[in-house]
Amino acid sequence: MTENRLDKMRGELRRGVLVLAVLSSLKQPHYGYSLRKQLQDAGIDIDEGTLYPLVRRLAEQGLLDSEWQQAEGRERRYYQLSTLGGELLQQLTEEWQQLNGALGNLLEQL
Amino acid sequence: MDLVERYIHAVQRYLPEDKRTDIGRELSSHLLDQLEGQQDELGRKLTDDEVAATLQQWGHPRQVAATYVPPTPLVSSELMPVYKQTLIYVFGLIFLLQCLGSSIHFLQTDYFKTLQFLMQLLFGFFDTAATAFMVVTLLFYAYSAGGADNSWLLSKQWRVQDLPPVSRPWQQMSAGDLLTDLATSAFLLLVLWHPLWMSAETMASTRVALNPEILQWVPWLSTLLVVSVLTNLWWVLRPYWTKLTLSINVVLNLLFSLSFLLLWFSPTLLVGTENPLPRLLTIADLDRVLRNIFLLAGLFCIYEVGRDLYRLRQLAGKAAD
Repeated sequence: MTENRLDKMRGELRRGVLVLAVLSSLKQPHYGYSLRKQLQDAGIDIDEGTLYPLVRRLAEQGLLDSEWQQAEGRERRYYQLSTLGGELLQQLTEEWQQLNGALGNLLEQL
Repeated sequence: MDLVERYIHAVQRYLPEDKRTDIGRELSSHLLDQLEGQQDELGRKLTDDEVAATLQQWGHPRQVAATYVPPTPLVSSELMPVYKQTLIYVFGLIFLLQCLGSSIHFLQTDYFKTLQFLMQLLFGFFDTAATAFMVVTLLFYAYSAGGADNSWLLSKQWRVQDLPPVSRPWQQMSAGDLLTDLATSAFLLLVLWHPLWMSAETMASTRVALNPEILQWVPWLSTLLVVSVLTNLWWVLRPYWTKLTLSINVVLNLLFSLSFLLLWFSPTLLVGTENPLPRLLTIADLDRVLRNIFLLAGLFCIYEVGRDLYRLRQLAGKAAD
């Protein structure tokens, strides 16, 4: 398998999981850069070009609340999970755990 | 931070007006945070080159704008199969009409130049097809962008029971065959009824005419051709060979083959007019050519009758299984 194909498939695999990671991280309020740092510290490295537009889309869908705040002499937009986002996160978490368990069994058989 | 401002302005250029300020403000915040983080790591102020390198990593402003507001495709992926099918039918119809138009033009001229005929056909087709492509694409774009209910277009209300009973690959009629049959029948109808559409001047200058005895065949042949056009139009909507469509085709081809072979047997098909024929060409020559065409057409129809009878047997065998 070529490196290029592996990168593409890895990207596809991560894409769906990123939503779960972002929603989960935003149980606490974060601005863009701090959210990226938090994800990086947790071992999930996302480039800016993917993360920031994703956060914005989730906010547009009503899954996140946002608020501009002044801090350290600069304005920052803080994002946090909305009520709707919280409900969705719970459902997605269950789905993920079920999928992860089933996949774990399958991968163990190999 | 002149470079950051320049970068944000460049990104904003590619964004819709109602989102420019908000996305620009947010992007500015992200960039300044990132640059500040880098400064903290290095323990000094960043140089312009380092700022430029970071911005370069973000990608071209057009690319960044597209991640925030992905461009709307002209045709949504959901509608793409219907769009492609529509284009095929529209192009087929244009080709058919172009063939008829060019043929009529050819019949009206006193001379015949193959290359000129082909060029006229080709350029006429591409000219009309380009316009049709634009119109169809714009219609689908309007439909995709409008977010209208497209369930009827996507055949969402379908049932397995309504799918055609197709079990063999040949049961799917080819669009090319259907269009060729339609074009041939329509062209022959036009030739048979040329006095209706040909100008009096052109009629007066024709050099050959059908033998009056053959003219008696016109109503019969016209009926056959009209039935052929109508059945072909029906088959365009349901392009599958079934027992019914095969049986209709057998009857039609039998009648066509019979007519063509009788015409082949006729003593004289064409007669001369008061206008002389070009040198080296006689009525007998033209008559022979036309007769041979009828013979070939008759034999081809007989071949199709045999092929369809064999296919009918195959379908009957399948039903018995």
